[in-house]
Amino acid sequence: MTTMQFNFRDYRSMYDNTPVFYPGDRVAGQVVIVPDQAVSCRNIRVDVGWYTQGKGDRDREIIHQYIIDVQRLEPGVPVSQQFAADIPTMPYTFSGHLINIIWAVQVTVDIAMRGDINGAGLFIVRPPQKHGID
Amino acid sequence: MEQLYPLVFNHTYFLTQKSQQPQKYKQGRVFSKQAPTLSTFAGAIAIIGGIGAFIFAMILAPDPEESLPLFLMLCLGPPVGAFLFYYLVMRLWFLFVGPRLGEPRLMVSASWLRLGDELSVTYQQPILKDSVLLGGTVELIVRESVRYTCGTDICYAHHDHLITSEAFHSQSLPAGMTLNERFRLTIPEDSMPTFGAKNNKIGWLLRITLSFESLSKYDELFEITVTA
Repeated sequence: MTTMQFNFRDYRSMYDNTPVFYPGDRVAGQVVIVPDQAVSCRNIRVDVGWYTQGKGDRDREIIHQYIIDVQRLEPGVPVSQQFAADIPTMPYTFSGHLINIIWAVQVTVDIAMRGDINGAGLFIVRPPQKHGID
Repeated sequence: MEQLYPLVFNHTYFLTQKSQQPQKYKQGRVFSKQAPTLSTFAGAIAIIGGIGAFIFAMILAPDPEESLPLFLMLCLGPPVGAFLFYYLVMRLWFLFVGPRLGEPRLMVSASWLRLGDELSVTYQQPILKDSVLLGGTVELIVRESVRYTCGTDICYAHHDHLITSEAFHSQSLPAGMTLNERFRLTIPEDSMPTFGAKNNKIGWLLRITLSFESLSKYDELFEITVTA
C-alpha cells in the first residue's frame, strides 16, 4: 500500500476538508509518496489539472505536469515533489446531474506491464462571492 | 439606453410546428422549421397563368383594328382574372387555413453575459386572427449535455436545471394587435459559466413556451453564453 500525502499552500479557505482556490490563484504545495514495499517503475507523473466524471466520456486538461525520473521506490523511503500551477479562469469545480468537473493534483506511478499506482489530491476552484463571506 | 438585439424567428407560425432537437440550436439565432406557405405557389400559378392567357389571347384575337374592345378584353382579361383568382385563393386560404400568428420576434439585451448580470427579454408576437393565449413561460435553463460511448455507438444525453422562470398571462388577443411582453432574468452569481469540452458541455438556454388555443404548443430554445 503506497500512501500519498498532498499538502496545499495558500488556499483561500477549506470546504469539507478540501482546499478552495479562486480562478487566477496559484495552486501550490507538495506531494509526498511513501511506498510500503519496493516498487520498480518507469517514472512518476504529477499532473495538476481538471477532469470530468459522470455519464459522458472523460475530458481532461493538464495545466502543469511534473515527471519525477525515478525507477525504484524503496519501502518507507518518501519521494516528494513540489508543485505549482496558475489556475485559469475556467472551468470551475462543478457537481451536476450528468457532469462533475474535478480539479486535482494527480499522481501516477507508471509501472511497466502492471497496473499503475494512482492517487489524487482534490481541490476546489470557485469564483469569489461578491456578496458573501469566504 | 439599453441595446437590444433582435432575433427574428426563421419561420411562419404554423399548426404543425415540430419540436427541435437539442443539437439544432445555435448561438445567436433561434431555429425553426420553415413552414410551407401557399403564397409562393399561388403567385407562381397566377404569373404563369397570366402569361399563358395573354399568349392564348394573342393567337385567338381578331384583328385589333376591327374590334379593339374585344382584343383588349382577351389580352388583359386573363391576367386580371388570374390576379383576382390568386387574391381570392389567398383570402380564402388566410381565412380557413392561414396562420393566426405572424412572425414572432425575440429580443435579448445581450447574447454574452457575465455571472450576476441581468438579462432583458422582449417577445413580440403579431396577432393575425383573434387568438387566445392560454399561457406560457420564459425560462432560464442550464443544460448539461454529454456524449458517451455505448457499445460501438456514440450516445447523447442532457439534463436541464431550471434557474428561473417568468410567466405569460393568459389573455384574449384581437386580430391586428401585437403581443409585447418584457421580462427581466438574472444570472445567479454562484452558477457555472458556459463550459464546453469534447464530450461534456454546460450551456445556458433561454426557453420560450407558449400555448395558444387550438394551436400546438410553441417551444423554442435560444442559447446564450455566460462567462465568468
